[in-house]
Amino acid sequence: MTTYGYHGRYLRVDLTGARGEYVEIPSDELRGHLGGSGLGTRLLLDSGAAQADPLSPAATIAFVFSPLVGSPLTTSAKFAVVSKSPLTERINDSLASSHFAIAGKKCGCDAILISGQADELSILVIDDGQVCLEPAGDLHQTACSLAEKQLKARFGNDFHFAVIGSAGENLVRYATISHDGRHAGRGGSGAVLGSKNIKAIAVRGSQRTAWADPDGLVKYAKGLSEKSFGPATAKYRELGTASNLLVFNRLSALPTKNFQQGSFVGAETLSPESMLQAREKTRASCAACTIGCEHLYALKPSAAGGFAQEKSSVRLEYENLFALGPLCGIADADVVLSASQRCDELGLDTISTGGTIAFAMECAERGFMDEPWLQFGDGDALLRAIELIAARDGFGDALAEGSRRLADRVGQDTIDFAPQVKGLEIPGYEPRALQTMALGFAVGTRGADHNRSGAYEADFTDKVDRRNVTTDAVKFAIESEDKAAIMDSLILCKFLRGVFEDFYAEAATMLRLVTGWAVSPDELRDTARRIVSAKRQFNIRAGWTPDEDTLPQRFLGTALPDDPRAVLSATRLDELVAEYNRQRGWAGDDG
Amino acid sequence: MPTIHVEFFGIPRSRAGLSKIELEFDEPGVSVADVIRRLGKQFPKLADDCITGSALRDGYIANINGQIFLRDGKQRLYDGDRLLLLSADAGG
Ligand code: SF4
Repeated sequence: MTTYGYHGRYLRVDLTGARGEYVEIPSDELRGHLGGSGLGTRLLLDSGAAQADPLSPAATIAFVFSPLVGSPLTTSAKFAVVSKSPLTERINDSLASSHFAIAGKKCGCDAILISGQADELSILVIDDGQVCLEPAGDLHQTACSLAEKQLKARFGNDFHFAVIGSAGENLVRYATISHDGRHAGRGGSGAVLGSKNIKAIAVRGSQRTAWADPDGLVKYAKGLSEKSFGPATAKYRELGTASNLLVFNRLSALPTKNFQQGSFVGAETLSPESMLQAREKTRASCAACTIGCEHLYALKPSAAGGFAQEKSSVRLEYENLFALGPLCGIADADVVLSASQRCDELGLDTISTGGTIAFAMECAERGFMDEPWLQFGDGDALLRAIELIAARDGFGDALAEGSRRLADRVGQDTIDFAPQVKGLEIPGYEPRALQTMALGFAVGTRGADHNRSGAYEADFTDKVDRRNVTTDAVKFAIESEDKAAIMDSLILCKFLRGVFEDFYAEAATMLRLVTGWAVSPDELRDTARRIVSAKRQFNIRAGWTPDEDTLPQRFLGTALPDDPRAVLSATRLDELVAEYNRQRGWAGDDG
Repeated sequence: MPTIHVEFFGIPRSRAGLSKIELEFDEPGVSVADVIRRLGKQFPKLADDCITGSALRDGYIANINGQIFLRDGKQRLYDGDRLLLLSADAGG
């Protein structure tokens, strides 16, 4: 049965037999998990993916759309990639944007679930639901943007592509999947695709879904677009997320030199305000977005340390700026821009790349490993390490495993300062200075994650004392996680969040206009909790244990050197996690 | 007489057109609202987009000395205090 906004089925692709078939998704499963991250988790739980080796043919990776994809609602052209992470061995749901989402949904399905393995490097072609494999030997080790360009020339402009770079082909555990310069970035979904010998997925389709109330939807969408031009998104439109850098630096919350400090002497040089004085900037946006938060900075031709540049400009976000800049002690803007660009082209998650390299730099400086070339502040070393990682060449093979596995290899208690939770490298929020976020990191099902938990929002208000939070902060972490579960399942861009006066009421309205379901805000709150619980359930089946819900020793009991008031004791974190489990209604050990 | 150091970040910085300023007040007992009102008079673009009367508009927040965030303008400031003005959605 077809429901408004949905096709009511997913496309199951078996690469081993090069076959595809539609499988019905019951309506209550759609309503109970919406789409994107929520529906993907549900479908993966049903497929047994939690127990499989994420890089084996038995593993399943899901590309999941949503009821809002293809609608006129601003920022809704998004898809989720959901699988078991080869980096964390836990649930991984990462999001990306643009025409791949629209074309993929037009293939007549709400999700594409891929398992098996192609015999040789291949392109998975899904043409209006018809599945075949095409050889991709000519794209072997090709950079992401170049691969997409060549695929466009080969298949035509009405196809859209999700591709992996050489990092994905070489099974780097934090390889991304790229579409149109945007990445499903975290947790290594690119390696999952690489393990299946899939260089790219090409989608084209003609099947649209109907909307329950087209006139109402168009009217609502117009109002939402107008609001998206207002002050709530001004920061994203005018400056981009990179403008966080100076704020975080001022508050000693900017992770620096592998989290050894919370502020960086070179921050001013790396700020977007300074960068603008020396280079041109252009703006871009995902398909169907009225905000346009992407700020692309021109690259100097000489700045790539001798490595080929595929493009003359690079998107700069706070996360790649912090991870490839202060975290590695780099104050040279050209190096950071080049490193970002190389990560984009090779298909590497910038946060895990920067986190792992910064960790190795500290290990090398403290004599735990014999790699003297790896030094904080050395731009050439950073650029060289990135190339080695993507190729798994030399020491790059160890770096390609991520900081947790690298620490296991180095031993000598270096795990205490490996910047990760559940194996996922920590994004640009110093946990001691932002302690509601510290809780969000500790309990995050994906690991240390600022997208599935925006708990830092409470830290930037008068609701908590960010450097000395109590269990009063737990409800804010839960609220943030629940809200993200809905946004990531509907799917809407997080940068829109400030325009909603009553998020759950407005989300219910959007869903009603598209699907015709009389969804209440309270039903959506229940849905959020169901989705968060489903992720936890996935992790339990994958082998999760309660001692994973913590932070590395570095962050516990010792003050941040540049802010003596920023201390988080192990006891306090345990209390926060226990209270989180209590408020979630979880026993703490069995979900 | 108190001197208050104001630091601008993000949109407030672009509207004020500078990164910081020192404001001197004739009377002791200056409040956050007093500072914001003065800034509104001095920087019309800042007033247009970030300030309403003696308060910050939704979407902006103040912080004292990098320590306490506040939305309530009644908070008293002392000589040498630093008032930070920034976008409320400080994350990514
Ligand atoms: S706000 Fe930015 S990330 Fe979000 S949809 Fe628009 S361009 Fe894409």
